[in-house]
Amino acid sequence: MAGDLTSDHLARLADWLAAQAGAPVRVLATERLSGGAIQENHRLEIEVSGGTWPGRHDLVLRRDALSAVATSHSRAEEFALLKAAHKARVTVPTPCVLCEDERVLGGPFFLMHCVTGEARGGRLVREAPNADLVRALGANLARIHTITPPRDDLAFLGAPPADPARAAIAQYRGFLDALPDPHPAVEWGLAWLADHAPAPGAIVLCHRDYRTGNLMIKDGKLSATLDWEFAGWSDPLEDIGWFLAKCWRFGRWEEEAGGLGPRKAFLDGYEEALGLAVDPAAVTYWEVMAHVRWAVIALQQAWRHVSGEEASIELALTAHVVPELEAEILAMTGDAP
Amino acid sequence: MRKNPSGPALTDIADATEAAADPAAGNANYVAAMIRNARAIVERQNAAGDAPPQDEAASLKALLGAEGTLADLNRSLVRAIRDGRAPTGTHAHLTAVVRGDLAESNPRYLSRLDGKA
Repeated sequence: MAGDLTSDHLARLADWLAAQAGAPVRVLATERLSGGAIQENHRLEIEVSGGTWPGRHDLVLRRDALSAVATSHSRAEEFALLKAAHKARVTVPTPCVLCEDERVLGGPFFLMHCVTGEARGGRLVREAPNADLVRALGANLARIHTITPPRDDLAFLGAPPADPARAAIAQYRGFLDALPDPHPAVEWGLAWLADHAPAPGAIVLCHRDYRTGNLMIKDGKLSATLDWEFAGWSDPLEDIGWFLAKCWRFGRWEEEAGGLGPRKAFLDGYEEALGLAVDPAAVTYWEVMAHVRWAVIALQQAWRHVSGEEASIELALTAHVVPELEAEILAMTGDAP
Repeated sequence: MRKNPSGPALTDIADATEAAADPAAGNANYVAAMIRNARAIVERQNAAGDAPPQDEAASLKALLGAEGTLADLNRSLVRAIRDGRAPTGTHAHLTAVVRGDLAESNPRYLSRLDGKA
């Protein structure tokens, strides 16, 4: 179903939207947006003549791309996550409407309000430091973490893990075992994580890819939290460790909050929003976990190229990011596992 | 141990990408940078030659007191680490190997780690 929206698509889309809005709908403009190997985004400008949503609307249509992978959430699930986040006052594009009728565009899609800004990490870290921004990013993450199980609308996330750290270690060991080459430095990190695993604490909704690169910033302020495809129930510190991990600072190592600003400002924003204190040692643990997780994902991506599944220089080069992650893992864990 | 793809396999995908590259594409600069990066990694691997894998194998044999191919020795080390019986010296061995890999994959990163850049 991937590709540009044809005139047939747009005609069916206008008819479907008119039925939802109870008024005639005219599509004024469309444009395929860049990015998104797994999902495809199209900008969509429409005009509704009356009904429940009168006026002009600048929207984004999101649907599966050709290379959609089974592990990511479906569009219907992502729409439910966006609705839950929006209700919890997380900064996200306002979700509008979901269509699961495949007769319209050949597959499910949803519409959300168009939000503008810059998400590319390499560009954003050039503007650092911005303590107010990272404080707001901490508070925004805290709002995601106010969403707790059980939730009927998020039932597709499955049962919350009893022990997120140990569940992650077991999963990543399984992933490594499925690869042909041995990776002892990553294995060392996993052994350290197993030996230092914290007692399980609260379980909340975690974004699980909350980092510079997935946060849209406009005029120094957060405009949208993007890419919810890995969201799931976990330890809230998993998101904090992922955001602070050195591997997501886009080279701006001294700005420990995502290359964007000081660690303390980010944690202050988080703690003030929830009225609790975060244990720095526990954060360090999850920063080690972040490097191990990214290393395992990078090795899986490289294997997609090496195995012949998808020839790609980008995937191939991902293998050569792993030594950076391994160096950080070894530096953080020290000599005694 | 050098990550796969390395050497000729990395050159192959750089060649294929270059042959298929569209200079007018919006991401042409990004693709060109990836091709340059892949070729630079291979050049550094070629310059280092067989010394890094030979040194790694010798270090593993001493560490594990065992013989075998580089991959098999690394598999034995992985099993030992997972079983909680990593030999003394494992961290120093891994650090030396990873520094060698970094010198080929991203020497600037290694310099920054060492406070030289």
